[in-house]
Amino acid sequence: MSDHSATVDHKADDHGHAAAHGSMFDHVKVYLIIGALLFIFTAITVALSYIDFDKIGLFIWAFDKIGVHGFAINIVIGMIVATFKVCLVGAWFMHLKQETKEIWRPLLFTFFFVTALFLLFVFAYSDPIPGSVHWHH
Amino acid sequence: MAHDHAHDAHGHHDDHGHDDHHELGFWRKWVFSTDHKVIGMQYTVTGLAFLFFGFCLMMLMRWTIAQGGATPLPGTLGSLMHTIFGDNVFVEVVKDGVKGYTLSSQGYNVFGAMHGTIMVFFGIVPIAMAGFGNFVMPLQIGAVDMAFPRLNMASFWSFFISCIFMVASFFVPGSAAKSGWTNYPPLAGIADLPGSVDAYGDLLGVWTNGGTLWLLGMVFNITGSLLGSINFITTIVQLRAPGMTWGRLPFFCWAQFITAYLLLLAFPPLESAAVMNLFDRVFGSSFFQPTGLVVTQGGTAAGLVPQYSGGGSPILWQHLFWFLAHPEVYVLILPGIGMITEIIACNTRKPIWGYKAMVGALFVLAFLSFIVWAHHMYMTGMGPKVSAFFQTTTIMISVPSVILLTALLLSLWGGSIRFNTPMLFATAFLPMFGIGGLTGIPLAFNAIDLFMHDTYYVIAHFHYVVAPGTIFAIFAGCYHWYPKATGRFMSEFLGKVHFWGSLVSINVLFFPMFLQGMAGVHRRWWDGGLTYANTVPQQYLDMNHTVSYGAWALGLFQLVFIFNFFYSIFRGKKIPNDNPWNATTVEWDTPTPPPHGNFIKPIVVYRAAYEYSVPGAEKDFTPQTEPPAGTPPPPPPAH
Amino acid sequence: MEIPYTVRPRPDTGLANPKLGIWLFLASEVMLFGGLFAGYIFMRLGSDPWMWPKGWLNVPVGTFNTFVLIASSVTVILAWESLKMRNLKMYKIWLFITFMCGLLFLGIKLSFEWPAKFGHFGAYIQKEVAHKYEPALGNEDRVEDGKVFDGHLKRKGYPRLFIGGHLTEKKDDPYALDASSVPFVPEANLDAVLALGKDEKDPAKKAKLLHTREVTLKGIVVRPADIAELNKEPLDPAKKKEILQRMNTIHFHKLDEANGRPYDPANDRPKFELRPQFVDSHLVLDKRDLIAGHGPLVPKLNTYLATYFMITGLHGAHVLAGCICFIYFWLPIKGGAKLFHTNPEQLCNRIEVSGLFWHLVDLIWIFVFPIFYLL
Ligand code: HEM
Ligand SMILES: [Cu+2]
Repeated sequence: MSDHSATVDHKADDHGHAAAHGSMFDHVKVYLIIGALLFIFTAITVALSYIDFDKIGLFIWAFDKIGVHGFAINIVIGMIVATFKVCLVGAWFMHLKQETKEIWRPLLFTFFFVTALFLLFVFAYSDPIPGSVHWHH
Repeated sequence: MAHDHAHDAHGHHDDHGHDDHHELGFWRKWVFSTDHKVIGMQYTVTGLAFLFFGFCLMMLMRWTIAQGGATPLPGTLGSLMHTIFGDNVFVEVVKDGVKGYTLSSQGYNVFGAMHGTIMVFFGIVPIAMAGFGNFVMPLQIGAVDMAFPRLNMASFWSFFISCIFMVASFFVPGSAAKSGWTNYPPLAGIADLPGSVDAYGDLLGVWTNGGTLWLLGMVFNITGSLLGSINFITTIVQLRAPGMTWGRLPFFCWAQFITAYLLLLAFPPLESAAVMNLFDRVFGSSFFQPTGLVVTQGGTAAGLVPQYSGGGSPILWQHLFWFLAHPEVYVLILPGIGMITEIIACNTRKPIWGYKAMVGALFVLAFLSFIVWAHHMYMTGMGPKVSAFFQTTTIMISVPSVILLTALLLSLWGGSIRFNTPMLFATAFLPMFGIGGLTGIPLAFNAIDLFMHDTYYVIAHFHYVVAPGTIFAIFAGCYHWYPKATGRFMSEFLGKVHFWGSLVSINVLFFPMFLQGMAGVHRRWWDGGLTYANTVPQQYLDMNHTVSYGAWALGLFQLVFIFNFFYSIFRGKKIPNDNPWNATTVEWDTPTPPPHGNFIKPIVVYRAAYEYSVPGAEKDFTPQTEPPAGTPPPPPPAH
Repeated sequence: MEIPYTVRPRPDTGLANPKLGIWLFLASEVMLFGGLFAGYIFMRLGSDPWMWPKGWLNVPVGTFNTFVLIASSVTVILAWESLKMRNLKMYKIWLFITFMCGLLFLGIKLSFEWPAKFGHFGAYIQKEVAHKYEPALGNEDRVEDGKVFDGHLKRKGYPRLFIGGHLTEKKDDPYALDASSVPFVPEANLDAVLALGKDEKDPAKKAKLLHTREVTLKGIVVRPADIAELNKEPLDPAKKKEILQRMNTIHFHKLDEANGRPYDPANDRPKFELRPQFVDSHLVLDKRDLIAGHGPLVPKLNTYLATYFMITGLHGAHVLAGCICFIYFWLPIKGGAKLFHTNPEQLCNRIEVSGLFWHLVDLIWIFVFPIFYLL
């Protein structure tokens, strides 16, 4: 039984008790595993920041393909790890895995617009007319 | 209260919080109310007051523009204004031996910035969205109240605090904000700070000046809007009466729904920008302050270097601001279109043509409105690729706008139209909004906009959409729903005087601005172009007089409305029944005025929103709550 | 009158009102922080590389705080699960731990991390005059990538132009903090200020001018004692010179490791293990050589600190809001733990909703931590 529908399934049961939530210990196990993963990946993030990826041939080669160079490689890798952690929190702790479409839909738009905000900002920044206000260097 | 037993027919009850059967006192009922109708009226009345205030600022500015800034205001008006607003805003001038006061150039900046801010954030949005939305929307979906009544009250009070900040800002040293409603840095980051460039020691002065108070006001205003939009969406999703499916939702509610989403997702980035700007002003950071900025103070102490580390970007503010402010223009117009749709359906006695296409258009419009913002920024020197992108999306967004307008125009076709005052305003809305929208299309093209940007053409463009557009819709809404709120009609005769007077004068006011703009008259010349007289053919500057007469005439006709509004509360014609316009939507299915809890019978919806003139029906309207023949009456409430 | 679906879900949407409400709120929060992060991106792209510092924050402490926040995310869920089991005791324990984690996070931030920045002074040297401070900057040794110099490893990087440390005068000078951020004052400007009101006859106007003079002097001069000295008539020229000199220089007595031992390659990147922070060494900076905004490590100094304080500040405000909710639901009051006996389902909803908010706060920190502390 998904923990979300718990409240839905038992609407007749005002003072629902343990019987209805027999799988609680499974849940707790899952939460602890996710918590542990978050700890581990935090440690990994810190460790990764001490590696100079722009000194390692494989990474230089791979990131060159997407036009990322120098310290930016570290940034991209750090952001990938952070995004992964955020997905863990969202999917399990915030139960997005079992959420209804009424919740998902607005969130999808939100993610789309935040992404648009970031990407278009960078896009606008990267395409200046030389000598204009946009032109910093 | 007699109708407190009214309740939802939704089947079960939550086992908490039992009814308060006692009569609420004056303060709880009218001031700190949680009733959506009272909150709606609070918003509407506050908003109308601000609309009028903002309009008065503009009428004074029109004097300066028409008279070139050197002529005293007529009569004692000047000294009165000087007493209210102080030395910084009104200066003494002498012309032909007549001594008096007129708006100074700084004062013009104050009034210009505050006119825009007030009209947009304190006038139209509070009335069209929060006011009418609060009053009408829950009634239309058959809900007892908003989903979170206390949050609703919090929204209003957050808004009210922001009002206090804005009004108070006129009375601090240096007067209110001066950097336009768009509040562009670097000016917005340094103007009016004590000592102007670096603020040592004067901690109070850093907080109490026009620019800072503007930002604080906006933070509260935005917070109120965000809480309100959460409430609107939850209410529409959760509290629709049984049978009120999405397909039966009145278009006004659809418009409110989409508008709430626009506010919810577009406003927060402006809130963050406002916080950054506050940091710049009170902590001296450099989010929007570029490296190497040099400031001159009042034209005298030249070459002051502000104490900023620099490295910030004024363009960042523009991005964050327009990320909100383009969706914001749809926040301004969509509730208006919603009201117009209700009024047109009711007065043409026909279903709306293309209801589904209109709802679809709303969605497309809302989506696209998030990715067109930089069409306000072509002049900032962004490159051809970025321009091409935003130009394309901007042109795309005009398609849904045109769908909305076309559907409404076609809805008129073949109707036997009842031209009462609300319908007159609604009909006039269509061509006026059309002019406004169509004149936006040239602006979408980078090449044309580089010439048109910041001219009166842009002013005319957006005023056609918001003034004879949204504000006419607001008037239409006032005349239309007034009977539900008060039990009386507003005077038809005064209404028609108001309408025809406004229609003519508003066009005298705004139409010449297109011509001026195309001739190159800049939108922020405080003296009406005197200083730049030889850059523009004189006949275009002379139009300033025509425009100003239009403005003052328009002001005069609003007095008729104000009189009508208050007079009719006491003397207006009483309505014959609870549904005086013979409308189909659910808000007319309540007692008048609706009690706390709204309905005295369980509401079940059986049909689409606009079943007017259904062939074979005995009346020319079939309310949404009327069961199809042969349906058993709904079960008695299970209390 | 009752609002339907305040506790139980509406059958066709499967949602109760608070659940939908909080998710909409979270959506707006995502956009809010989206705006802030967009600001970060812009600031970082737009700043000159040598002005965007690395390794200014204490990584071990930041990591610890991250762990605290993650742990609290787990405990708040456990509190919710206990509540669903109708186990009041465990609920209270877990919720209290969550609350304490929140406080610990805030405590570390406000009592250690931020003050450590406020007590530290720094200044950027203008590029053109950097050679004057070469012994403390060590740029001669920082060569282009690809070259080996002086037997050291290859090192590259933008020129080091930041000098940080503790001020000499700070101990006995209450105005040092402000004064260090005051710009260079040319002698002529000082004379102009001192001349204010000198020849004015009208006593009312004179008083006004004298007041302006007092205020302006306070704005640009270090000590009240100096003001008194400057106001003396006649003014001793030697004294005036001395005061001017004091106004226009900054004295460090403890320099950052990086400036104290500029040629040590270890100072070129942040370290996880704790190292001595300061080196005793005296250095005098001429204010003319500095970029405006120098002073304590506050938002004024550079855009990195501006974004850091703004984002962590707003994040901290969210942590505080979460803590207030939790303690409210924990205390045995009508809207809190007492609700367990009358309407446990509603209390359950409240914890779920505030838990969702708490996870968002955690989630934002997951991004904040690397972008400020590590990258
Ligand atoms: C048909 C679609 C529309 C298009 C293609 C369009 C296009 C534009 C463009 C390109 C500008 C920027 C002009 C400049 O500053 O140089 C502009 C300004 C503006 N538009 Fe529109 N627009 C449209 C509809 C609307 C609507 C429906 C509204 C409001 C309800 C509106 C309100 C505004 C406002 C307020 C501004 C000026 C803001 C300012 O600079 O102060 N527009 N429009
Ligand atoms: Cu726009």
